Amino acid sequence: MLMLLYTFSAYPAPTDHDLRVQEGHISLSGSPSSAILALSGEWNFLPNQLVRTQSESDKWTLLQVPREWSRAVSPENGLELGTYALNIHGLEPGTVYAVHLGEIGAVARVFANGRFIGKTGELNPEQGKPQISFARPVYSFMPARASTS
Amino acid sequence: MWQKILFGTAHAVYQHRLLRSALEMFFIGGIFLLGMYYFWVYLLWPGRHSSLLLALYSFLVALKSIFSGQQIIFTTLPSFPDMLGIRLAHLATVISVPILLQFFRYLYPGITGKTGIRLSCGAALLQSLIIVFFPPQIFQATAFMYHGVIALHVPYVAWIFYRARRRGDSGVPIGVIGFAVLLLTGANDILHDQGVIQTTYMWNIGFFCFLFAQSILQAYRFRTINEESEQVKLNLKQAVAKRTAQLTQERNKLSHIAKTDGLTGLHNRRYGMEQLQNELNRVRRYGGCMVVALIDIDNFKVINDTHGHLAGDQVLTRIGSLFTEELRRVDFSARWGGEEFLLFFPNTDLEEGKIVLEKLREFFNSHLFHSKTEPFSVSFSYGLSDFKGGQEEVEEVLQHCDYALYHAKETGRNRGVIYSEALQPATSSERPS
Repeated sequence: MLMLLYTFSAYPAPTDHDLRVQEGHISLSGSPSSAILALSGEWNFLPNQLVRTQSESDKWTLLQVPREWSRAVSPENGLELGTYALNIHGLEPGTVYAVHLGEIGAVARVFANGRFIGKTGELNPEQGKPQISFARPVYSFMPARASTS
Repeated sequence: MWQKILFGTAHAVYQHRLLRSALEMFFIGGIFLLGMYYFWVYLLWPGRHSSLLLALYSFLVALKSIFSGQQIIFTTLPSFPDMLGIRLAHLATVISVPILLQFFRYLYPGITGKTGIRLSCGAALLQSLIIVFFPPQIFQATAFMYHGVIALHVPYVAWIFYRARRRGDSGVPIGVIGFAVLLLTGANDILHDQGVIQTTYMWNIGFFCFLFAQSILQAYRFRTINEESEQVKLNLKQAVAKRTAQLTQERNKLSHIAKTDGLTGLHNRRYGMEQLQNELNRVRRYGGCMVVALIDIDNFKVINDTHGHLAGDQVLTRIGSLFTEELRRVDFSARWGGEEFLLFFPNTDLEEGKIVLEKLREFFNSHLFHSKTEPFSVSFSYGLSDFKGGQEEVEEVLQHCDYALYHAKETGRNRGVIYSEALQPATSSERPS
């Protein structure tokens, strides 16, 4: 029982319902700087297309995260692909932030304001087929302005 | 993206990850140590297959855990191939299920047949082959189906607990609590994973609690076995004591039979000879004197012929009881054979011995025996000799008594004669037979 209590105290709930992602946006206003948020909710999603910024397409839909995404895309050349996007508001410029991805089990590239900040797996390795990864990476970045996507 | 994405300042996120990794390592270490403990128990007690299964289950859970959660293996060994890791994690999960089921079968034997474990092993084998030989997209898809198979194990195990409880097996509540914690933490993780509840992953706590509960259960069973063993030892000790008492009783009985004459209740000739030899030795060593007498019932053959053998037996019995009742406790009497008897009186001289024998003779004479024909009385003759620590052997002393007895018979019966050298026959042919 003591272990359970300790675990709960050591792992503060990483999100708050008030800070749930809604329609591709989340605002950090009012949340303590030490808080760890779960970026769960309605993310913008662009099926069957890979882009760096949201302005590159106007065909965004909403997709729940976390959730399986395969049904939202149609396989093309044996590959299922799509782009997730999220607008985060209330960031403090000059502060280093980090995003801790869950186990993706796929190939991923992560961008902040169009700037590449990390990847997992390889899309076109020398073997000629994707090399997926199950690692749970942490990517950090420093925003230049109060909002990022 | 089917798992939660965490976000915060880099410091907070890395701290969070570090803390979770530390806690997971604590639980993985605990689970591994429990596995080592169970394996050690098995080595000490090879017959306890449940301990071996629990050890294997613990190792598999620990193996799975280092690839799951914070993926400690990838943090500590970044070059470790994550594809191999994910296969090992899935394999550990799949293999652990039938092992756990078999553990419950061993823990509560005789409750379930082999059908359930065979089905479980079959499903695990199939899924294991898929994991080994197919790409992750395939085995991850079939893993969802295998989760259904795992779910079917829950009511099956619950049924085992129910039957064990009804049968009166010990420690079932502890097992149920451990299993319930495992299920609750598993359900928590699924709901948390799906974003339904905002808690945290608790599978490692669940496994740890489950294994810890099993260790309590094992300790409880060891205590029960120890108590049973002590009881068996006590029962054995009591049985041995009882049997020893019986054997002692039997031995005493046999010893009594071996040295007692069945008809008269007096000692028999062999024992009489032993005791006479002992008494002669005692007198020879410590000094003093003793009197030895041989008694012969007069005309015993005539009594048998006239009144029957039953009457003869009556005479023998009577003389036996007479000696038993009238002699001192230190005096000794034995049936020497037929109608002859041996008596000796320690620390007694010839005069005292003759007084006693005369008294016995008069008592015997005064007794009337009843037969089918008519009442009758019986007399006996005796010859006595003393022993004062000389060099005579026991046979020689008896020979002296025999000479005296012969002389008593020859001189009219119903009387006693004290041995003297004059009674010795001139030739051996004149010795009494």
